[in-house]
Amino acid sequence: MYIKLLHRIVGAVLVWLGVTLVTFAIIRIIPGDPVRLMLDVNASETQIEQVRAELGLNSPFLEQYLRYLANAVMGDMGISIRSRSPVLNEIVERMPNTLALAGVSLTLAVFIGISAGIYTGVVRHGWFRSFLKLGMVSFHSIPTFVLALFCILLFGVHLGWIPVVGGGGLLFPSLCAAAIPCATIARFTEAKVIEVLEKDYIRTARAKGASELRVILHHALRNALIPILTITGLLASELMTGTAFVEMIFNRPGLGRFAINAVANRDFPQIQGIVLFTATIYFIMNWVVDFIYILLEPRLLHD
Amino acid sequence: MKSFNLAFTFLLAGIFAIGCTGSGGNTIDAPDPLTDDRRGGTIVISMAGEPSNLDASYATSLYDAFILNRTGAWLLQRAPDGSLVPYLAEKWDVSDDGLTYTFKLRDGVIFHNGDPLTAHDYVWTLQRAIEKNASASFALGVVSELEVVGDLSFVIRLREPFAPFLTMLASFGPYLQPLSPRAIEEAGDNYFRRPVGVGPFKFVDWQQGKSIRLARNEDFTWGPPFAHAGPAFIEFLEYWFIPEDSIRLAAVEKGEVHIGYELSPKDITVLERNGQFDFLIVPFTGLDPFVAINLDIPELQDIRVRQALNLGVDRESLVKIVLGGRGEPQFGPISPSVIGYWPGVEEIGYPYDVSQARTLLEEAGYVVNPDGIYEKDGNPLKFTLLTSNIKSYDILAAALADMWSAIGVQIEIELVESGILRQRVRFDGTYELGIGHIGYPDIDMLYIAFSSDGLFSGLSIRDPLLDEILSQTRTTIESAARQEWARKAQQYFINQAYLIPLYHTQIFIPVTPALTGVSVNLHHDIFLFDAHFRFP
Repeated sequence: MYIKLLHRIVGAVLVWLGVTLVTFAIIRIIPGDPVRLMLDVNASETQIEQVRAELGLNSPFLEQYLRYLANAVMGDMGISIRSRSPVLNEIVERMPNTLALAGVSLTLAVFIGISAGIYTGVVRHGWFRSFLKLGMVSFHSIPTFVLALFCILLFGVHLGWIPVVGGGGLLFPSLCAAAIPCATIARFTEAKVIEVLEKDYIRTARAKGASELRVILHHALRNALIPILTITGLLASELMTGTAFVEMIFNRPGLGRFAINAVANRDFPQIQGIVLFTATIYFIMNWVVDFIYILLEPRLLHD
Repeated sequence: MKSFNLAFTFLLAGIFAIGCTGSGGNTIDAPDPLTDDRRGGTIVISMAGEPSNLDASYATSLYDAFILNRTGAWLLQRAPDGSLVPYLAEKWDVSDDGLTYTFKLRDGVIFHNGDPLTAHDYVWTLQRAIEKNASASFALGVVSELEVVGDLSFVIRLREPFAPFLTMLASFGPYLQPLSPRAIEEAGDNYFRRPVGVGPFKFVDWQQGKSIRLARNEDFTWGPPFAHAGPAFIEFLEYWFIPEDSIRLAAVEKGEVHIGYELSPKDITVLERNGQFDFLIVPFTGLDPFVAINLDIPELQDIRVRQALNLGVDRESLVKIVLGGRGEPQFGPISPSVIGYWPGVEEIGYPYDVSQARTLLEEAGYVVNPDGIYEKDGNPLKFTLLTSNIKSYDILAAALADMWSAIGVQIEIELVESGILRQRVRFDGTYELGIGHIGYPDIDMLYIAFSSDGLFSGLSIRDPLLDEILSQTRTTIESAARQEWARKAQQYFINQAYLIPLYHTQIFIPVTPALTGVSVNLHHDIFLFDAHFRFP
């Protein structure tokens, strides 16, 4: 158990190192000089050099990287080139908005996705099933930003239910961000439910006279749940991307929008900060998923 | 760089200083006398981006300026009719040699924190910018000395005569506005997030990623000559940051936003069809867009090739294709609203003439190959046109490629992100033909952009004769003589075909019909001194 934990931690540190190194290298390779972009009041070469020196952008790559790592370990992600505020503060400031959006989206995606998946897995015909299938295929194939724009056009501009700017609360933005994960979960649940329902123990359960509802929820779903959980864990981390579009279009302040602006401005510390943050979210999600596995299937602990 | 080291953000940020039409399109209704019960309300203004630094001396972006325009005031202002009028300066005096400027400040102006504005504060602010090398110092590169000569008077001395100095003080006003030393000391590192100025609106609060709120300054007892004296009629201003184009449009359409900055020509057409909006109309001031020609490319060193490229552009069609008719062809290096514009460019500029273009290429020794492309020594006449997808530059590039293929020049389009386009064209010089844009209120723009001592190494032409003409346009103080140099400069650009001007645009700013008393000047500065909602 402890060995496993140690493995995990060492693995995490290695990946963190990798992530920071790769980001560090990539953002320095892409064209566009952050100082020039910032000082578009057009400083002279000397002034540009001066700012660059102030920001430590003139030192050798390795030195910059090591300095960054040392600071990051102390919780200092650097100062944004553009806004001159500590990056950590900027991220923490925006985090609640994004977490709320991602949290509600994930809840919706899991709830709607699993329900729809069970229905289409169990009931194999009928118009409602076709309707659900069509809905899920549409959710899966419409890009988030198109869905968000459509949502605003329909509910904001035409029906006037929500304000065009901000989307008036979390419901509509979350629904848009939830669409793709929801469809993925539904499809996956359906496949698993169909698979599990053909297993011998289901036949046994039915033979014992268990109600159909009990068969589905207790015997089938429980066994289908582990793989569904895995995919949900992955989707949760991917929600970062989905929320970025939703934040842009619904005009909500948050980390996704922050990340897009950071790249546009070549704000190195901001980009690094947000990548590191996203990597951390991935880790945490993975751990949470592993933990739930063990709750669902204690045998895994001994494997 | 010896003197004036800057070009201002407006232009460089991607939106530009703009000039007035004079047709009245820059003002919506004259103010009518208001009774107290008609005061109040909140105006919501949308913009695509968010300010980054509201310490005026350190501000760099257009969005910073939008806010600082309201919270601050400065020496001279550009009125909606284009004239320079007193703002904080009650009067000013320029010495005969053009080196000494004496300003007398208006009495009784106070900062939002209650401190009175003095000449000491003003000089302190400018000196702070210079000493700390803050972004505003770029506008003060030509200044040699600042001196307080009375509680309300101070002197600015220049290193050398600089003709557009007063224009620059007005254009760069938001960045050069006086700051309260006490407010800066008290706020410390956080000052840039809560500015204190002397303007008609006070800063209230900034929700990162969302909006900034300002409130009426009740102590604002004065006003520029083109507005009433006293506090604004409107109680609150909200600036909403809406990066997504279609949402900015929808927000204006639905009336959630009262004044919409930065809408595309396409969106303006939608609103026009809707028929319910008033528009502030301001022509673009500068050179946007143009095709920059890299003179390091051997083929482009031949003036006949450059002339042929100019002759091959059908500017009328470009205006239709790219702008939906909302603009005018441009023939010279600066648009008509730039100070120093010479109307003669329209006569001597390059018309659309395919056969003349082909003749020039043949004179230059090119022959048509079987693909219909001109070639010399087996090398086809082929250029890469660098562009980006902002402001329909991608459509523009495709249209140009098409037009140039008609004169036998092959074009390959390279599409890059706008920041990269700017970097490569302005600084790196890694392009053959590149779409560029520069906005500026004065002909000094040509010196800044194209002279050997200019700011943009990627655009620098390095022609000693041109350098001489351009430096005369900035150091000649007497206005008729200066205009003559300005004419020469424009003529020379056209004769040498150093760049390919295309068209100038008009910028439309929709205003909700409920709002009146709004006007705008050259610099996108929307004046809300007299603004108020029409009550039923």
